[in-house]
Amino acid sequence: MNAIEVLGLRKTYSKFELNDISFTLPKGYIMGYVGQNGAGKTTTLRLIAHLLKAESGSCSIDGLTYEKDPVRYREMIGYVGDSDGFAPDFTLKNIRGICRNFYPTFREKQFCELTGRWKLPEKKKIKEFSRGMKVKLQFAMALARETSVLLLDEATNGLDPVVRAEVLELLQEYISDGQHSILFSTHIISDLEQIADYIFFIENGRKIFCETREELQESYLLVKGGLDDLSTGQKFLIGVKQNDIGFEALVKTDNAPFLSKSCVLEKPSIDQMIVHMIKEEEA
Amino acid sequence: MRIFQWCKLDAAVSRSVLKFMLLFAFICAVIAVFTPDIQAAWPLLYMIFGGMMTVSTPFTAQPYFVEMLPTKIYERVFGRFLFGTGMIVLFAAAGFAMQTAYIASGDLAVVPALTQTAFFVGIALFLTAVQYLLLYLFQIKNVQIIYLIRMIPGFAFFFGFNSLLSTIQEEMQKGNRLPGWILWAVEHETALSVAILLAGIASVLLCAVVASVYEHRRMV
Repeated sequence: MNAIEVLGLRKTYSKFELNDISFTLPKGYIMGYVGQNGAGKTTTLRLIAHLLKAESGSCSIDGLTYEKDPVRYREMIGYVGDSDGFAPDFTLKNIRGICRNFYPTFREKQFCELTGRWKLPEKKKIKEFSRGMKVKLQFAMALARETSVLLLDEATNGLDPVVRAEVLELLQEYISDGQHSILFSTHIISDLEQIADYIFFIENGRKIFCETREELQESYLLVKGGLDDLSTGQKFLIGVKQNDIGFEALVKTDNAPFLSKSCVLEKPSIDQMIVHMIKEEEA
Repeated sequence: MRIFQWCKLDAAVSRSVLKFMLLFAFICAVIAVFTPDIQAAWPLLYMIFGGMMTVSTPFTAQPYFVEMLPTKIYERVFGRFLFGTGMIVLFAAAGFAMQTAYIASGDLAVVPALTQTAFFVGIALFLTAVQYLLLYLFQIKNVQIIYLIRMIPGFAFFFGFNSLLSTIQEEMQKGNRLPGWILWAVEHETALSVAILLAGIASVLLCAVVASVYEHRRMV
């Protein structure tokens, strides 16, 4: 069974439209949801969490829709957002109390272990927490109860490298039983290179591609060459970045034989692929 | 049923404003003590006014982790209305205590404070219910408009009744005959107060049901 199924999701604002977003994420996998600022990443995640209502389309978690059982649907989601989602005067004690009251599977001991390990102050008000501390708190809330999926919206931003590595490890541990999945929107592509199984790329509210990381890295090559090489097979180049000496672009692996023999071909990083695809979209 | 938990959560979210309202109560007590010629109902009106200023705080301070909590929509809406009702009753109780103390300290012949409290609580509940319903129906995001909707019922209540009571007092001191409807209201004071209180409670329930249905249609 799929952990997340999204079909034809659409949401319109005055200056932005999220258009026909569809994907499935099987259980036990992590999907990286990438795109530029304003591409529609947060809107998609908020639609899946049902913090926003879609104009059309549907989302299901473990086959269950919000319409069918809103309480169970929300219980199955752990949401770690990019913005400050807490009441400023709350303390850890308040948060613990709320989680205890609202989440039947909340494990207080594990929550205290995580907040203790991350040195989150017990008596300080949340408004005095740094951004990193607030993110850690959200992770503690999400990981200390039974969920089926984690929706992470730029969640690792603001974390120091040590904690980020620790969180990534926790995320891998989270999916290791094959029953949990993660949809992870981020700008930090290096995080995705470490843990993502699928990459969904969104631009201007539209899906550009959704493939496994391996497929993606096998499907494209990074091509570098001199300006003279541009004349051969230029139509196959994606997102050409040109300077006085030469160019760099992306090419589909199948199209590589049509390029000039003097071009250098490399396996691209996801970051490089995204940059060139954005450039292609802008062009 | 998580209605009470939502009510508690709204109270927790509004905690900073509630603390500020303690200062409000203190100011009210000080004014009542040092102004012997104010209306006997003034402390009660003033405290209910304070409550009305507080009740809509959760509409402006809703963090998204609260929105993510698993719940049925009606539980959340009814919890909000319960919070509003609770605040009005709490502030009215404080006002009632002050009014009683004020009456006891002077030698004032006024209508029994309890009847008056029931009357004003009924009106305040009605205004709060309508205010909540408007905030749910129009899903206002503009903070300035929210503040306007928060302020108008409270100010209308406080200054409206204060002005009405002052006018009645002045007319009585001048020996003028009061309008018939006021005499009727005074004559049927207890029944009227109970009816207004019941109408206030009914309006809270009705508005909560309408808001729940609307929220359900909006989100599902």
